[in-house]
Amino acid sequence: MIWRLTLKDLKENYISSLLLLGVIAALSVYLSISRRLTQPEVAMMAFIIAGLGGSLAIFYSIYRGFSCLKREKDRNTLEFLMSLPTDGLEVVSAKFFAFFIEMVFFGLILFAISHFPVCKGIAQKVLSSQELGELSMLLLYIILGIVLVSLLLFLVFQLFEILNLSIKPKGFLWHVVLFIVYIYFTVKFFALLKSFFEFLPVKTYEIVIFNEVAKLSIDYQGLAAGVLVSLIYVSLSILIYNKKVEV
Amino acid sequence: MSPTIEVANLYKKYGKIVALANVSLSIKEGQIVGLCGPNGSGKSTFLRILTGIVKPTRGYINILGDRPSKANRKAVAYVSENDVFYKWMRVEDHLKFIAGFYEDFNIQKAFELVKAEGIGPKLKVGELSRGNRQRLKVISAVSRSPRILLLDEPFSGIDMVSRERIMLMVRDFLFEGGRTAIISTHFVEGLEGILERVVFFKEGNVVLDEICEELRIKYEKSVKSIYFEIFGGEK
Repeated sequence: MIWRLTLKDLKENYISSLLLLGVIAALSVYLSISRRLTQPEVAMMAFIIAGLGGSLAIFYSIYRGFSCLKREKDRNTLEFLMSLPTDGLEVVSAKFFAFFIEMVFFGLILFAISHFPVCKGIAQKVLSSQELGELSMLLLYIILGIVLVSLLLFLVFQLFEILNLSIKPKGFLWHVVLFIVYIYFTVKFFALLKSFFEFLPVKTYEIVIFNEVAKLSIDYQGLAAGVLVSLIYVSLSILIYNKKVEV
Repeated sequence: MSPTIEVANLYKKYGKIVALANVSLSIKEGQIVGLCGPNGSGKSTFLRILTGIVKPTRGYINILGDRPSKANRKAVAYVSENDVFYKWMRVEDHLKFIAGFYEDFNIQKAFELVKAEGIGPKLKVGELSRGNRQRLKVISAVSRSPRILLLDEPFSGIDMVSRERIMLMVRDFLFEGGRTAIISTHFVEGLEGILERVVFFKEGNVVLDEICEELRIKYEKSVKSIYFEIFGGEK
């Protein structure tokens, strides 16, 4: 049943996903073809595009996390969904899988789009194949980070929405209070979990690119805490959906 | 024989509002029950609790030998009074989507009924009239072979033709026999020939629970007349 619900969620959201990609693609093309690029500008443009895509992906993940069940509730379709032989495990997992698939595609397309200026650099012969490889690797790491953060944010906000549906706070003010308290505890919880993984390294890699040394840090502590937070938040979402959510 | 549906002291509160106040009912297999009562009397809440989409504040529920769950929802067809279908989906896609959840869903029958009702399968649900959306919901229920059919206000807010068509679909479906059905409605007169038993709800309480035939003999009146006597209004 999960894949049916996943497919339904994918179909429901493909327009917003395409819109997101369209905005980034249009900006990338504009930035890439608007003028002749020097070698450092190629990298800068590529990073700007990846960063811009990342920012939009983060906003998008918050919006999706917030709206996934709220939209169903507002349109009465939550009643339909709950009358089907499904449960929280299937509904919550399907929503996550749909977003995961969207983000994987988004990441791949963002990776390709961020290479627009790189392609121009190759065409202008200001970039060697070795430099292309190094730049691509760096972009891959950045985009992977963006995808992971987006997935985590989606789950965090999805749980908030499920909590909201179960508690049903009255009035906008109570929503705001609940949101602030929730975010505060989420941040504290994440920091606590991160401290459990202190034995894991924060590795900094030095990458030589265009004869400059670029530093790339991979925070394994944050990564482990993120995975654990995701698992806990998904489990809580399923549990609360099954026990407390009603129309 | 144990009842198909049994509830005892069912109580539901929304904030300060009591939607159901200690309702106890026992419904046998194959019985066709009409839930009647004014708006806000607790009929919809009762059906939603049976489906499992609303949790009772307290009380005992047994539906097909278990609490409302994912497992016994497979044997229950529920038609909501609300517009619950995805409006962006095409009619045919929606039926296929529902078919994916039930082994007993007869997709061929569903398409035949859609065609017979004059609903375009390629149309989006949002493009259908209210009456046709209501018919589509009923089609999705009667295209299955559920043990229990729960219909919540299937005739409300629709034109007379749609009402008549839905009535025929429901009647044909129930005359196949062996199915337990609970129909919540204000439209008592149209269902008098179908209903075996009526339960009148008022302010979350059951105020009358009788077999239709016995009721007619006892009061020498139609169910509709008794309804108006209890709840007031134009005869």
